Amino acid sequence: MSAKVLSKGAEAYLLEATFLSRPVVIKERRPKLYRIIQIDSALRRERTLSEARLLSAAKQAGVLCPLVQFVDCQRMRIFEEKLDGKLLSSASPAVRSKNAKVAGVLLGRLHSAGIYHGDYTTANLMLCKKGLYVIDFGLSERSLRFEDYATDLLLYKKAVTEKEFAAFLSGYKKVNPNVQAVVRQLCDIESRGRYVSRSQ
Amino acid sequence: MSLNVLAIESSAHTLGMSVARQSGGKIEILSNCSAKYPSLKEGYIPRKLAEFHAKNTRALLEETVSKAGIKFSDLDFVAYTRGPGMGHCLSVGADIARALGSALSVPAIGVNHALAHAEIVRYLSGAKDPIVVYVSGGNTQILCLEAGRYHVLGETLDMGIGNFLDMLGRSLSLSPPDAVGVLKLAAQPDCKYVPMPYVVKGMSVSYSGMLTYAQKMARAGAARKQDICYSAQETAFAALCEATERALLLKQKKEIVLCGGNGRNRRLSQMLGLVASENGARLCLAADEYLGDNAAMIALTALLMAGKDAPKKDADLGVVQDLRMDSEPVYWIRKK
Repeated sequence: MSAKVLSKGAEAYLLEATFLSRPVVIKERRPKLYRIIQIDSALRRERTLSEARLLSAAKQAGVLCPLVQFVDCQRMRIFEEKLDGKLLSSASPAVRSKNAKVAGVLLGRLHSAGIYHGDYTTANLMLCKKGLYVIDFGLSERSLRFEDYATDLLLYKKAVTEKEFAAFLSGYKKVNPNVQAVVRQLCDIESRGRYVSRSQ
Repeated sequence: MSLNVLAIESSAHTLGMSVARQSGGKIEILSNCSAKYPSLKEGYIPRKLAEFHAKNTRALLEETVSKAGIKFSDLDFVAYTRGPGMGHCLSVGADIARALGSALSVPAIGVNHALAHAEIVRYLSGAKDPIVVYVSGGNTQILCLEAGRYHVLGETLDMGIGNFLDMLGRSLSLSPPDAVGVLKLAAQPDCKYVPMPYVVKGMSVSYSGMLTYAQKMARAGAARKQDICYSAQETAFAALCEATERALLLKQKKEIVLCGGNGRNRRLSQMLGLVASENGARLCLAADEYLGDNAAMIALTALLMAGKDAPKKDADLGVVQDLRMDSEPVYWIRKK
């Protein structure tokens, strides 16, 4: 099987290939030389397996995301359905703000299903024909803690404008009944940052 | 036309003084002297640090000026650390600056300590547009230049990496009871890795959970001290490296500046070097004396702030304990 490198991310290489005569994207977690092998192999294995599991869990929660076709535990590779779309981070500001609310709905659904994403930014949202897809569950975990949900919100908040975040929250609110508790936790995390003004 | 500045650094355990000169756009550090409060089992008590600084002021001042080969009358202005730092300690530096300023009839200005840590390594290494990894006792931040400021991309969500290692060293009763003690044990040849909690959230890290875990492990005798030190250090640095790599790729930068006292840790710089080379980037380093708290960085930053002429008198010669790096405009850097 020949594979072409699409891109190299911080976490993994993305390769393009054909698997069972379908176009697939292979996410391969190659070893990181900077960390010792014990940390490296445990992290890569843990993350590969959990990502594959969470991708299918997210689908069940009604969130559009790529379909997993095969998991290779030797080389820490996940074979996923190839999506045809554009990253929200590279879309125009107008398109971004139009999709902010949907981005909120999707995250709300994930959280309602007990999944936190771990890297929820516009660079991990892809605009396709069928709608907005959530990609890269590499840092996701199952969690029932508001702290983890709030961390997702915080990362998104840091990546977008204030107006976009307001639209995002309105979408989140629609599908997640715990929104108040999560937002309260968000304020708490922000106040914990070092040397942030604590006038509240 | 040249400008001479004398700078005072007193934000924490180190009292530093330095003379630097700018002439023809080039900055030269003429002297960089310091006196460091010893690392003790009880940790650092701000009042005692301040007393130490006050006691060492006179001798250090004369040493700094004479080593620079200038006279007090050659000074064009005075700079001091405005913050962040411990209030007791910062006040000593501000007092010295005020007193010197009025005695010599020259202006005095306050400098952001965190910004100075980044600027000295950036300036000396010739970095243009880096990702800055700032690692010290109280601070662990990953930054990049954006809209004329250092923008915080990620930082520790609880304790700085230096505090984490210091507290680990203290709770294991190492010698010395701090990060250096941890490093010494972690460098033993037969250390074994024991799994530790590894926390990276986006481009931020968290260390307090690992500290509790390591302390419990030590109390229960579940692992040897050297194994705990080795594992904690490897895990903490790996998390920081991962966050740095993310920042590097997100912002598409080609330089990593390593600054702050923990930048002297050779294992950390080795690991960041690998992050850099794996991504076609350059790791920008400076000599150890410019990484830990030092006054040369305050002097250099003051000269960058001043530009060609001596600055106007600073209206506010106070201290701000919780000053942040991202609150400071860096108007002297022109990107591209």
